[in-house]
Amino acid sequence: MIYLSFLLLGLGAGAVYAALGTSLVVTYRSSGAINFATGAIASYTAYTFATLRSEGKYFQPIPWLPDFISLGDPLSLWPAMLISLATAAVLGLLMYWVVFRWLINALPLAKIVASLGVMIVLQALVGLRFGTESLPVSPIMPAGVFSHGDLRLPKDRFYLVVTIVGIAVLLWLFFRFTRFGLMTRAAADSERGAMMVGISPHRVASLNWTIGAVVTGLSGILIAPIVPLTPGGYTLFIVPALAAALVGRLTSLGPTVITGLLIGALQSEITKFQTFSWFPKSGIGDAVPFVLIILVLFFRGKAIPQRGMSFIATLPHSPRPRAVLPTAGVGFVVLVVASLLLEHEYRAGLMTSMCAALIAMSYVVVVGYVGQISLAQLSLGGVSAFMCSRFTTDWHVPFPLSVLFSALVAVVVGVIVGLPALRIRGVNLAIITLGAGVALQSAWFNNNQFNGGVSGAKVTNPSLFGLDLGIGSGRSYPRVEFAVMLAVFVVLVGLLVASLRRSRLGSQMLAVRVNDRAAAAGGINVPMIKLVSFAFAAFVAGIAGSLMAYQSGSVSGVSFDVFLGLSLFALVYLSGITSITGSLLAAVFFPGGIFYVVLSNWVDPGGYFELVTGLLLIDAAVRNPEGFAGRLQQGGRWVGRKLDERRMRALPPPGPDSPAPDDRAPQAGPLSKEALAQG
Amino acid sequence: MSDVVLRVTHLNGGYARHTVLRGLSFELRAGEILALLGPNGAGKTTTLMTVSGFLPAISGSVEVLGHPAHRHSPHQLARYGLGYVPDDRALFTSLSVRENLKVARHGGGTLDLALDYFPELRKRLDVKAGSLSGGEQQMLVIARALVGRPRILMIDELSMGLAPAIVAKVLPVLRRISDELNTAIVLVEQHVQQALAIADHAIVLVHGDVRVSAPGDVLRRDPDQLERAYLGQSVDPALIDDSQDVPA
Repeated sequence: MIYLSFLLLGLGAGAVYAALGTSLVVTYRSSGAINFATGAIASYTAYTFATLRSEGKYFQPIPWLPDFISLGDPLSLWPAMLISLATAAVLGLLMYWVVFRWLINALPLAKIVASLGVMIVLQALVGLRFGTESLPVSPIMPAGVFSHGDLRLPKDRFYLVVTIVGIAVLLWLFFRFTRFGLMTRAAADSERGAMMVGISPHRVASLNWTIGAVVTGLSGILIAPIVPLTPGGYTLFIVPALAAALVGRLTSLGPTVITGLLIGALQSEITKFQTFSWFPKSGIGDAVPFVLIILVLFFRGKAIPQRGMSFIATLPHSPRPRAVLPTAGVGFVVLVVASLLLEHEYRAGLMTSMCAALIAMSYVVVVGYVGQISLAQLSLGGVSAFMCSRFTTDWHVPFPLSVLFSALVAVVVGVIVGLPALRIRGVNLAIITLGAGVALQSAWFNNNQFNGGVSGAKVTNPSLFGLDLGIGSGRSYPRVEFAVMLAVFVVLVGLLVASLRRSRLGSQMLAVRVNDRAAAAGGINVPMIKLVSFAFAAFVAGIAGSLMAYQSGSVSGVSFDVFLGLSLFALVYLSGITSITGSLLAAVFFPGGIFYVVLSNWVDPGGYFELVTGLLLIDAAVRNPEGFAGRLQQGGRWVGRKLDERRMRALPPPGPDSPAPDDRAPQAGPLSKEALAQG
Repeated sequence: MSDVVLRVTHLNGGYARHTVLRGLSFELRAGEILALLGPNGAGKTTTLMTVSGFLPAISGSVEVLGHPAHRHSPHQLARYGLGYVPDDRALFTSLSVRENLKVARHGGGTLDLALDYFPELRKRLDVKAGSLSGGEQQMLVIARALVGRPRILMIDELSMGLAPAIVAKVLPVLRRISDELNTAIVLVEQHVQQALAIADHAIVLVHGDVRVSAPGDVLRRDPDQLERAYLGQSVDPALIDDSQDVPA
């Protein structure tokens, strides 16, 4: 009976997953964007509500205005809720009109990056105002417990579930039976079709984003008295919510709500199991959504319907690296000189950037070359880092072998993470890999049984042929030898990735990226290519991870946080995820990297670094959905065209024998470019 | 003339830097059927996409029921009375036939009005549009446009993927729609003879240029000229009629 009580207890959290899942479905149907910022909206609204309730102050986000606007005495429940929900509504509207309206026809990747930007901004705003303290929130639902024999259910959980399910039913009725609901469903099927019958897609999407944000905000408010309110605390709710929404195929509310409740209940049940000695003490609960997504998607094998897009968008061109060896040579010299010249924190920043560059290159391989959206690369680095600690301290494996072995373990995990890619594409895969990252993080990196406890997992100092390659400590930190070693790795891995792009395998990867069915028809072993790419990328990420382990001396989960990985992914995407140059550019701007160090010595960025990064991400994603590299390539093509035109003008005028240029006789000859462009 | 519903003047259209359509001009009056003919890549679909506002014109002007097309988004033009049946149909596949029609209803159009022209759909009202046959889907897209009471109806590649028997059945229905509802129709077709059979006027585009612009009955009498136009040979100058020189 106690087990049943635990199940029921979990319905509280489950209700929040259900609500966020509902919001994800509503916004996806209207604009094709999976809003990763949903958890952040819940948290933002909850903070607004909490300060109104406890102090009667309205928390406003504009930096140069006072942080809080006092409204007198603490507000009572309903006015506070009304103001908070209005705030959520405005937030939803703003997100659509400022960000997602411009991205309706953009790549799914661009939408993911933009929503990550929004998430970072909201989280930074809350962080700036409230620090890391948790905020107490007075109860909303009636206290007390329903009990029946041994069975006990807190009343607040019960009313929470009833409220959320009630809202979901209302929404379902609304979408089923109103004209607006019909318009929404029509626009989700075919945006062009909707416009052809006179439906304004922006009006439909605006209202849906508002509804989504209000439902999210309400769930944030309702859960605040139950789950402690901390900045960023609710952001992770996005993973179980995504799992729930995926089961509903991002289109149906019923399965989404039921799955959300189930996940909550299961997680709660697992906390009961954790009292047994044989059961892992933490992390299994967080793995539940991941396992669930895998099972459902893999066995159903039917993908989410792609939102109707007016035009087909593809990843930008992946340039074939030229003059590889000279470039690598110059790059190596530059890195070594920089390592020698830079000192102290600048050198440390350079090191962080070099490690980030390696992780970024792994994104280039799996996302840029093969088009498989993996969000777990930093987590794979983490696998390698923790293994590196094991290999060097427990089994005394010497330096370069330790990196190799740890990276190979990452390869094994990477291939497992990549297995779903054999049946699942696009955004679904992004969600699965995110889930995998969260599962690794909770079950391994943050699990005290495996992660070396408070002091972290120690790593033995690296040395080769008696030469100390360690990062050093005290006054000698950070040693130049370590920086040079990193430079060697960056250049070697860069060469490896460049030669991959130039190889036959690389061409096959690009073919799979464009269209995997066509690639298969062309005789390419698509599953093999996908797995090889995951393995290759995991190997690169693994090398990065174990080097990061050597850099910090002891491994902790913080360095491999899923959300840090998401920021890096967003950076790489915007700098150009299809080229090595892009990965290097992203590494420069990585938090803690060289740019960050320079900036923080110049002005004190304080908490504003995250805020500004988030805003820049949004701006870049809206203006350059193809990423900066795409923009650079366009510039390059423009220059090329101008040069061609010049050359044409320099040619002698056509003689009497040659056909006049305006003779468009179509009888013979290949199709014109125009015809190809059109048809 | 007051009953001109669509006026296209010196229109150049295309994609990014590729001009696909050069100097197209025509006027369409209520109740008229214009057949837009030509081989693949001639610029027919580009014309429809530009007129309906989905593709910005490179230069020239399009006036839909007195509204300059470039100032309005596609959904606004649709609300003014421009019906568009695209070649990929753009149906709401997860909605039932009835819902497809209901969501498109405005301007006093009724489901019955559309269903009277396509009685086959009556039996299929509660079926999802995605499970209809190709012919039924094509009828549904036209019916969906009709419930919006369009004054101009543009149909792209009606015959694509359809059995000839079905095409032969649907084309006369278009003539009836045009006559009975006073709707102007622009018909893009590969099946030249079938389209000409119902058209009041025809324009042949070849590689983006207007090769022939002449009344339908003239072309019906003289099919050789059409063949010459398709092959890029010179045609009787009388067939490039004066409606090309629309006063600006």
